[in-house]
Amino acid sequence: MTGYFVRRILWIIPVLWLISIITFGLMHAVKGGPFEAGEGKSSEAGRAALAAKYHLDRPVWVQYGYYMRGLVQGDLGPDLASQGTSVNDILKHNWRPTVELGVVTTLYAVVVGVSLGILAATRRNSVIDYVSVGFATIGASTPNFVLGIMLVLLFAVKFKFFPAIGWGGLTGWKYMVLPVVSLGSLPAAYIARITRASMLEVMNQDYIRTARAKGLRERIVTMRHIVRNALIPVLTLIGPIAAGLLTGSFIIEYFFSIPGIGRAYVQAILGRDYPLIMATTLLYAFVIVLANLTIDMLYAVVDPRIRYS
Amino acid sequence: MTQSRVEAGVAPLPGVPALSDFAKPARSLWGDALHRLMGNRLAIVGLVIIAVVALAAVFAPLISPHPYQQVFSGHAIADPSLSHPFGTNLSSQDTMARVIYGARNSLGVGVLVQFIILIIALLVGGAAALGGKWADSLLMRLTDVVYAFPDLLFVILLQQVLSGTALANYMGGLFVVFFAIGLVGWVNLARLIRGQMLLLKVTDYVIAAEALGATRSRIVIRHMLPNTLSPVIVALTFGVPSAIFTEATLSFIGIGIRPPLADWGNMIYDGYGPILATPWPIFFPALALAITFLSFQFLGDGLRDALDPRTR
Repeated sequence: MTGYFVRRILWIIPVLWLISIITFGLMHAVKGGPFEAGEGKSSEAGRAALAAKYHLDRPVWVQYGYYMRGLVQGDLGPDLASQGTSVNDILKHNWRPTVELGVVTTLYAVVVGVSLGILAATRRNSVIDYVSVGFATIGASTPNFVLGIMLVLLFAVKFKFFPAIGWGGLTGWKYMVLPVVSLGSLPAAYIARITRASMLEVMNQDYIRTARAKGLRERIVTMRHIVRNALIPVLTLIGPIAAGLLTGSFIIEYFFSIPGIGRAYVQAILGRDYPLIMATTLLYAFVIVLANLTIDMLYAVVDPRIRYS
Repeated sequence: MTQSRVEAGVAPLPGVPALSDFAKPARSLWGDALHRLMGNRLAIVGLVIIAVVALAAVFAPLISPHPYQQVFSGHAIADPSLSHPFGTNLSSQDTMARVIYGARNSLGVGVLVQFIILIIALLVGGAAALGGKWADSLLMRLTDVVYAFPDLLFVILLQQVLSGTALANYMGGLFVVFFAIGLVGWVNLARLIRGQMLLLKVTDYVIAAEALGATRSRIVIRHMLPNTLSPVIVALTFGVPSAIFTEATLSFIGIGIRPPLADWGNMIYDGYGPILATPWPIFFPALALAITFLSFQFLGDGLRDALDPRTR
């Protein structure tokens, strides 16, 4: 199995390489360059000089060569939108809010989702079950930006509990509440649904009846036998969900004015900021691949029946 | 799983056959599934709502109280009233008309995206499963690459690329959006189809058909495709609302359908400006989005239970 994972890890390199080629080709196919059109941009001559400086006057494949040469040396290129800053600088400044938001939101989604799922399954057809299924239904049917709007209206504008925009890092929890709840409620609802279904399935297994028959207390049966087994399918979901939250938070970053990578990406695309588009795409792709690999490994650890070849 | 529902401690659902039902003449596979679906109240509610939304979309010009782009000057952000049941937006257009016409674009995207996804996934998944070892490795590595793309961001990039082409103005900019969403959304379905077909390839009835001398295309069309259909239908049903969400998200950041055309996403975007003055312009499109989304969820759940009773 070690061989399998070594192959998987090595496979990351060609995947990212292909993604770099596709992204590079695509963004150069977008009409208009970084120094064209728009107010406040430089003159014809200045534009040509800038284009020459960044090799934008050369054929695409030559530009790609320059880019890759920089990349393997750890240089992600200049930020075309603001003179003098590099993409490395931008990522250095922006990674923190995105990672904080992604990690905290994943934790929120998992904790809320799993607890609701377990509660609903163990108290089936009770008020708690209906409330949590209701939450899961509403959470799953509201796009995160709509939820964001509603939460801001209620808790920032009307009651002024939390600030409507901005980011204060891990210690500025007040800034975190609304974006995390907006972003995390849909995955939380999804996790709750899957947990509940999985719990109900495990509860019917023979080994649960055996556990009860040998006189174990109900608490132990639930926590040690049911929950542990029921969470295996949930675990596989966490990989894609964490990857999705880390890479898909841009709309929430945009909405709450969080200075993260997602917001930088949207601005980069709209401004044809080639090096920044490349860097963020590759970074996000890396996160997605890594998240899935990690979960596959974890899966093999928690369920010894799983063998990869 | 051979346990009965009662033994399993699951409350009997309406429409699940009681023991006495088994004395009735056997139904076909699809008839059986339909029967189970009809017994699922939530799924039927979902189906009815989807039908209503679809009819509203198709017959929008007939049922809409006003044309969607008509401006009622002096009536900006009006509250709901008799002449404007859902109120008006900041541009003084009738919100109800825009919600109805928006169903066209929102639901249209959701459904058309599934067509693109289905075609690509069938080709890739089918070729991977049936085309031999080399094709399989190659195509599955391709899906790995597409899977690793951050999809929403890739859709934005692709949308920007395509908007420079002749396709840009087709369907008010919407074609480019659904094409882009479809182009990145097929990975999971392709994997599902491949997995299903690999399983089917070694089933007794496919081997029997081979032994009887059935041609390869006949086996694929008569035996393998129909048996791949159930999980595919379920996946596509769940895919519709998620495509609608994606498109709404793009509209919300101002990429996507162009005004004066309406869809629920850009209506929410439009309503966000005057949100402190009135919630109505945002409320109705958001409600339409949520109800449609839920309906597809219910229908998808119902279809899954009906088509594959084993997963219950």
